[in-house]
Amino acid sequence: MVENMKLPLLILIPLLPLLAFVINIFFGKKIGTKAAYVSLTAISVSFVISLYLFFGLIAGVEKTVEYTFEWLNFGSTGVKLGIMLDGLTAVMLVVVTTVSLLVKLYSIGYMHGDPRYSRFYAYLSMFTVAMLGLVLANNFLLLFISWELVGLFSYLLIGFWYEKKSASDAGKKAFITTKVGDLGFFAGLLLLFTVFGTFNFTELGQLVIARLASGSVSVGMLNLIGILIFCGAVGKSAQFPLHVWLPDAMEGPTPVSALIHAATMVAAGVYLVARTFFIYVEAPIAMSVVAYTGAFTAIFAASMALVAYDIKRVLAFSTVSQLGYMVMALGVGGYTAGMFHLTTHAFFKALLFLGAGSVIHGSGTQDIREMGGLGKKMKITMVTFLIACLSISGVPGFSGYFSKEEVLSAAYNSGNLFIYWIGTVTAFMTAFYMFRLFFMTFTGKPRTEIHAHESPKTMTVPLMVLAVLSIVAGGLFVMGHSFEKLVYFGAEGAGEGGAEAGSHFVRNMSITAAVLGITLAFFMYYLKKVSPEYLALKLAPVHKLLSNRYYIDELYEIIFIKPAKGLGNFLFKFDQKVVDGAVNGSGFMTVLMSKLQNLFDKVIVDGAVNGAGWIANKGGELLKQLQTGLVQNYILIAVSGLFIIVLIRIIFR
Amino acid sequence: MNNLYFYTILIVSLVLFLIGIYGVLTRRNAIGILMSIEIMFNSANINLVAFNKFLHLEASIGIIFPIFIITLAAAETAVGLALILSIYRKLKSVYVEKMDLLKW
Amino acid sequence: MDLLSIISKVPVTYLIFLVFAVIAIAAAFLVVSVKSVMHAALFLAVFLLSVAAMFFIFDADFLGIVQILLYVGGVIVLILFAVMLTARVQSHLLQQTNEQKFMAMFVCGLLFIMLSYVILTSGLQGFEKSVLQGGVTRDVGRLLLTVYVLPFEVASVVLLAALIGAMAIVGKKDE
Repeated sequence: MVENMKLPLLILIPLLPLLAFVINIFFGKKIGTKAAYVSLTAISVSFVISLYLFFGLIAGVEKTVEYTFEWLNFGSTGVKLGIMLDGLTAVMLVVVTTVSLLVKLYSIGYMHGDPRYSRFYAYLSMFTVAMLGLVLANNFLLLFISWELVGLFSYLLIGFWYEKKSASDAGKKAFITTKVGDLGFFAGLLLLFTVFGTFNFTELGQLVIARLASGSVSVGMLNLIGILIFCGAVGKSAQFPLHVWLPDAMEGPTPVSALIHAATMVAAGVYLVARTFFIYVEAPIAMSVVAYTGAFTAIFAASMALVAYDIKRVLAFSTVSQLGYMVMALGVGGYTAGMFHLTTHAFFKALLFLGAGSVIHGSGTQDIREMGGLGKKMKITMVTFLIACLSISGVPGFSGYFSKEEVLSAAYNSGNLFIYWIGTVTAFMTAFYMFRLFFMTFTGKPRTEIHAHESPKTMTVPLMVLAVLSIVAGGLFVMGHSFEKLVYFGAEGAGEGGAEAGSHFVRNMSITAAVLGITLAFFMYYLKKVSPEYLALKLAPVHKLLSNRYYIDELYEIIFIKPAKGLGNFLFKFDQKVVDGAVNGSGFMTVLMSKLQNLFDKVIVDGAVNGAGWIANKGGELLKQLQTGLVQNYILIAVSGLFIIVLIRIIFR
Repeated sequence: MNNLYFYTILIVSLVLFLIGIYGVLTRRNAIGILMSIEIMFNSANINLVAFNKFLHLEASIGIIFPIFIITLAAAETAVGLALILSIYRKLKSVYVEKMDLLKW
Repeated sequence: MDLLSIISKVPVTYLIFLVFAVIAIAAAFLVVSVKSVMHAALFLAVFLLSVAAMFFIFDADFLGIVQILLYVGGVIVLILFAVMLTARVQSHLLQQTNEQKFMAMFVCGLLFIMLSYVILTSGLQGFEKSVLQGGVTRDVGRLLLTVYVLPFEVASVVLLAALIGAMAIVGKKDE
């Protein structure tokens, strides 16, 4: 392709959805339900362009390109903005546009009849723009701007049904919690710019190595920067301890959950770590922080998913857990593995969410205890959901199997067996809770009177497309190592490919974990050989701990919110007792004093006041002579003032 | 000799400037005040041109400035006279002591 | 050293300058003191012409031409029009200066003493610059269209604004 054609193409990708946003937000009332088609058209073109560039990169026709322009210039240092296209960006572009396209298609049915239909599409479009800007950015500044835009629109979308208090609360919670992480991210950026003087990724990548070699930057500094930037990823990707917002964010419309909380926004944190991998490679402590945070989050969230009953919450915990997986993969040096898992996860998790949306749409409830036997009435939903479950559990042949195995072998090959075993246990738990969800929802007898019906075509078609992607995405990428060619970090350890020794063991273990989990769920929830209630009773403390989500929310309530409220209350009390008391007391004293003063007042003060008035009056009479209203008088005085000023200047020369 | 020349110019321009000030301070007629202001502008211009000639300034800065001053003086005269005419229509007078709406 | 030898050393431009300086000062003084405003305007023309002459003496020929064109050709005509438009109340019999005449003279005198002290003790060293090749006009033109092009354009906008403003102020119909 002609070189100068690529820049317009690249810019067009975020520009078209932006145009759709502008049209929908300003003419939403006029175009009504046509808003969906505006958004769909825009994102379709973006999707096609992304695919074109992506396959160009795979085939090796395209090369990495970068375009910059100067935005600000402060003398010696300037700030440059720009966009770039490399393998990582191309993969993210395809993921974002694919899921965005399907979600928008799906929303036609799901949001049908909503009073703010066009607004919903406007927000979705703008969210996509922000996300595309995030992955296209070639520097930290544009990335950060997009990052915050993503946060803003996720807030608007989570709280889309703001009439519901829980929804608006969830929006606020998501926004504020991620902001805590962003604070660290921002501090990291400032530090980075102070140390290196540039925001550009490519330049930074070279500078880090050069400066480290010359000794002008210490490893400690890099560790600090790495950890601070990771704070941002922790917030956005809902890693422990900032994971609390993601389950609550399920209050938003289900397509939003699929788009934001499965495929794109939460993946932004992982993408950030991948994008700044050049820092982590040189910063071992930051790297371990990343690895352990990811591993802990993975198993921690998976355990909470075991007992949740809300279908979307199970998926939310599962998302947190899988994100932990990706972060963990990056932390142990599995750059390609982490990004690979991100890609496959985006497809099957979007499928799970959209399937859940279809279930909710068809049955009118989110509680899986009230479902059951839905499979007979919702065949397409059931089959596609089953595919997603098989994929996320890591059953061979499905895409999740390939990526999960890569993550686990990266962990195994890094030599950190502790993290590897956490990953394997998590894989077992994942398989278990996904099939628990599946069996409880689709099989058995209906537990309550639900008149379920299959969802309309606009909703089932995206499900089918995603199902196909969930099956083939993994295999396609593994074949011929095309993904590794695309997304590869030079300084990677023996993450993949090289060490074949452990891979048999890893493969067997991961298959075993998946099969074990599925079998257990099968016995417990399909054959009902093992009563979950009995188990819950037996392990009451554990069950209680898990279903209350480790009391993390309560802990935050005690640590952060209570003191804040307490402080507020204390100030209120202080205000009431002390300040009001003082005011009332002084009021009383005033009354007393005023009675005394009354006498004094009449005699002396009145005399003084009248006297002052008389003086002012006479003084005014006297001074008004100066205010002649004649301009020339004023000028004369001004000129005299000039004379005095010059005189002073001469004397004190 | 050059210094004498230079200082004579400065003193002459000073005298002209003070005559201008005197005019502004004493003229009753608003048009007269405007004319006095023109005198002050011109004295300043003389000064600048003299600086240009006698102090070794960078390329002709002392000429550029008077050009702008003359331009602005012309604009000022136009607006000033317009104002005077406008006031004349209201007050039927051009004497500034009549324009004392701000007086006590 | 006799007087003649001193005079012979004096450059001729200086003498010409002195002549015009005397004319300018006299004209300026008449501008601020004559009773008839019409006469004052005519003396102003004389003053402006002598200033233009001074510009020619100081090698600022372009400025001198601008002075004649703009001031003598434009401003004076404008002032004369204004004088004639308001002529109904002009009278030789009316007092043309106000009562703060002596106070103003006093202040101006003080300022003169002080400012001339400032000038004479300023320590400025003036040396006559040799005239540029081709006069300063070329230099001025180049500067106006390169370094000072923005102020130049702004000045034109100011002129336009003054033109429209003047029309708006005068053109307003009385109620």
